[in-house]
Amino acid sequence: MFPSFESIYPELGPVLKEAEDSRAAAKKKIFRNILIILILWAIAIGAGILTGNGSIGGTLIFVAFIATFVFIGLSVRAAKEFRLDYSRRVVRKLVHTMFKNVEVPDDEDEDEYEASVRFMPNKRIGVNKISTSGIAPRFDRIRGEDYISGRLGATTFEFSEIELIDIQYKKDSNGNRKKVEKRVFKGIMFIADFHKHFQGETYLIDKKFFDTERFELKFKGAFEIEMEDIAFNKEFRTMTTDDIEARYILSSNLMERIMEFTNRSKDEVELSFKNSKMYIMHEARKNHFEGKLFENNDEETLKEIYNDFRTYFDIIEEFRLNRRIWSKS
Amino acid sequence: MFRIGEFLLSPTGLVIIAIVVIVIIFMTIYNRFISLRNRTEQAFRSIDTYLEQRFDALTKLADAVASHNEHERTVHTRLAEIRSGYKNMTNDEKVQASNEAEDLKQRLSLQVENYPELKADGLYINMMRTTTDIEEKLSASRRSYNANVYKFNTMLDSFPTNIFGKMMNFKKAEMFKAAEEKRQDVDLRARLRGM
Repeated sequence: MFPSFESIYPELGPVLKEAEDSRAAAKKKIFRNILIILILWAIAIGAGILTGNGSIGGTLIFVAFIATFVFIGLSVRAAKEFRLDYSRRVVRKLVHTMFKNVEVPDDEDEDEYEASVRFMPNKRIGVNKISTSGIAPRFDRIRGEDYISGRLGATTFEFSEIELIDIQYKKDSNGNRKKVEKRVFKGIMFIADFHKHFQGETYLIDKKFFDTERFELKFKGAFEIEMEDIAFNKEFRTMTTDDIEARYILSSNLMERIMEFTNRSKDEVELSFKNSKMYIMHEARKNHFEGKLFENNDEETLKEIYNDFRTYFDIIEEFRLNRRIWSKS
Repeated sequence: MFRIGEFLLSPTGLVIIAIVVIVIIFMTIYNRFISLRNRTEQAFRSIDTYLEQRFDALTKLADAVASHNEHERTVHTRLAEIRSGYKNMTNDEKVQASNEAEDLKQRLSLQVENYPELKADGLYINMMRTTTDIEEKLSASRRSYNANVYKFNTMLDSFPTNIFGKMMNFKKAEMFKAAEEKRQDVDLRARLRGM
């Protein structure tokens, strides 16, 4: 069980002080850049009016225009650097403190229970893993950050923020080929070692009116089955290559836990079970696990990040992935 | 192109279209029946396999208890007897054997309570895990069997699939019914009769 936010917050004091300095430096840079832009525009406009010379005024306005772009770029970079620095210092410290203070569950052996974590703000889950999940929509480009991997008890896990982009080429009214980028997914991809061994593939996909995913899975050899839980069937379309194995994976208890997780999340959740692993794609509009530049209440920001972490770390406990009731090969 | 269109709209063309549509519907329904029947048979075979595996696991557990105290060997001997003859048993005998195994398992659990050191033994814990896993697989097979039988029977009752079902001479299958007071028990008699 993870410690409460209130109990670990005092441990973050020193890094929060460093983050505050970093925030102040970033803000200073941004305000300085804005000030330079304003001064340049004032000079350009003022010189144009005072001299009455169009060519001088025009040149100065052109210079101010270029400088605006440069200084806006520098400000964006400063903000980005602050967020990365915040992730490296504060968020990393937060997640490490959570794992350092994790309480070993009563039914686990304290000497054998392992709790370790790695946080890499610049990395993301690999493309192959996303494709292997079988629930990712078709994509051509991927962006991502905030990669977290580790082990909790007998379960290894990894997750990160990802954004999948599909590129299509369309012809406009003049017949010119135009590149159109469409975001097909933004959210969290979570992968964990499942507590049962299985060979087939089982997918829990969202029920849509026009469902291309269902046809793609059918093409891969999966067929639709209905589970015993009516509410579960309303929420998910269960597709599998082996219906006995699907029912072995989806015990009544796990279905209940999945429903609880889905009901808590406001956005779409899809799951798959392949190669003895569990994949979750959780759509989310917001950016998780990062600091805010123009927000001085770090306690509130960190609590939000802590809660976001708990959403995913608790899956292992909630789905009882550590409950190794059999000898998994 | 025009001639094909004209032909399809003629009375002969319309009759051919109707025949093709009926054949496609017939094929789809037939394939659905066959797929459900195959899945039911597969689930049924899995039940039989997991029941055998459960016998093996219980025999090993009983052996572990007997190795602690020779007086407790009766359960192991009886389980070994049943297991050795299981393959050649008739369906009714399998039903009886499975029910007896359930009683023996409960006796075994009571025996184990007398040996706390055995309960803490790594090998015993591993054997318990294997047994639990087999029972989960057995339960999954039963649930699959019931789900497929339910769909199969529903198709035999619904219109228009019932017409095709009768034409193909498919018969309704019986579902597993777990006793209220003992849901783990298996009423195998009906199931082992097959579809």
